[in-house]
Amino acid sequence: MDALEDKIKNAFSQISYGSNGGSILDSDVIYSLEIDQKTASVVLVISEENASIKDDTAKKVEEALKGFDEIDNVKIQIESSREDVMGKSQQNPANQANPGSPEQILHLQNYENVILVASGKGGVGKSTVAINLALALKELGKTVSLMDADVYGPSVPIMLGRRNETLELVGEKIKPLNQFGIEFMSVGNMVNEDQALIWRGPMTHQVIQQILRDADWSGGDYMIIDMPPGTGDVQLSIAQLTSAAGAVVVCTPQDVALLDARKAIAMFDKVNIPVLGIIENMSSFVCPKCGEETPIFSKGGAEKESEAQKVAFIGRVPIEMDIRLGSDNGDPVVNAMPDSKSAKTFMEMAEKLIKLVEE
Amino acid sequence: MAGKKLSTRPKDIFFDGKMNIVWQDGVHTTYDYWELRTSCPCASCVDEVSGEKILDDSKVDKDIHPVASAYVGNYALEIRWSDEHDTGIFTFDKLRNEHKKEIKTVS
Repeated sequence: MDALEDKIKNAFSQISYGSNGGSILDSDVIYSLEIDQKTASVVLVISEENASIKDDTAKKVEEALKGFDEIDNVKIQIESSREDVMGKSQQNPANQANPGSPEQILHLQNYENVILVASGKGGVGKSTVAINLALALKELGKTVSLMDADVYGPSVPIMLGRRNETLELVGEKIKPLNQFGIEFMSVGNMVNEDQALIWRGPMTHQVIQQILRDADWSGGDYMIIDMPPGTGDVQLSIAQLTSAAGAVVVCTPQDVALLDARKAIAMFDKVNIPVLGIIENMSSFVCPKCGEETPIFSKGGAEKESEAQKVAFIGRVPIEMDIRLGSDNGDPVVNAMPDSKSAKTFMEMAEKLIKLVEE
Repeated sequence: MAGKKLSTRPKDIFFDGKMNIVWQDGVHTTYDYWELRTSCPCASCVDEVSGEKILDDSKVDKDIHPVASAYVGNYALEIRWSDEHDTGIFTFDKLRNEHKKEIKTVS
């Protein structure tokens, strides 16, 4: 739009006006110009003494505007003084009573898809799943950013091996960090690690807003948001401030975890965010020595739940040493051991996620 | 898929003396400004705990009208009214299913 504005200004500066040889811009002839869906509405102020060139000036303005591809129709209103324009718009009740269509003041609009990775309860491996999914999407050729929205227990900096690093301020924007080809940002990189954040709702809302609005996110195909557990303030803030393409619910196969997952699904339903599917994490343990499978937290519960909730089942992540080590060492399994079974599981899930988003 | 209900997703919202919503399933509903303002669900108009109405309808100007509005995420509309009230969040679910409205047939 700015480029168009410059082009229009340039065109207007070619239209001469009055006896002093200046253009219509020099004489403040253009009172206002609005462009809405290819229709330009212009208000011109032409004083009585220049009444003789009124029609000629209006014609030139119209021709100049119609010369742009972005403009099909031109509506011109001519007033003899600025006071007249203001007086009319105040008297005109129709103008007052009809505001324009609702504004889109949502954040992260420079991302094709904003995906929330959530769970009803904590400790189910949300961050591990979010990070590995983000890296897997990157491996599939997508541009990916990751936002750690867990303000109370941010774990992304550790898992990506960038703890104790603080964010840089460039101008008035906070610059996200980069690791393994993805851009990320976390509250963990904004406050001291040992500091506990004891915040009430309004404060968390402000912080989330700051990360969304004041960070210099570069945009791209996917923004993965690692949500805090539960159904609270942060979830609501993100639901209000962005237009998410969908949510992925992570849970363990136990009944208690499934109960909470159900609540998370109900919450997303209320805020009109499609639940793309469920991921079962910590789904049984395969002994690396003997190969025997032990369903520590049981197995298959999430798949049954996804059937009951009529959402897709995205996949099952086993309990494996590699995954835990990757997270603790700051080098997630998808990046550290791309040929491992776990990494392949995440790649398959990322492929499925892309399909679900595009549906 | 959960949450992808076309009936609670607006395609277009515009104001022409009434508020108009054209939904993604093609239904077109219109809302009277005064009716909508007096059904504001915010905590200063309705008691959050008891659900009792605090707003006195008779104090709302008959000429009340929106001056601006904005989308709230995927699920609601925020309206700033001519009386400067702007804390109400009207969910699309309620606008479609509960608020008083006229339903126009789409040609």
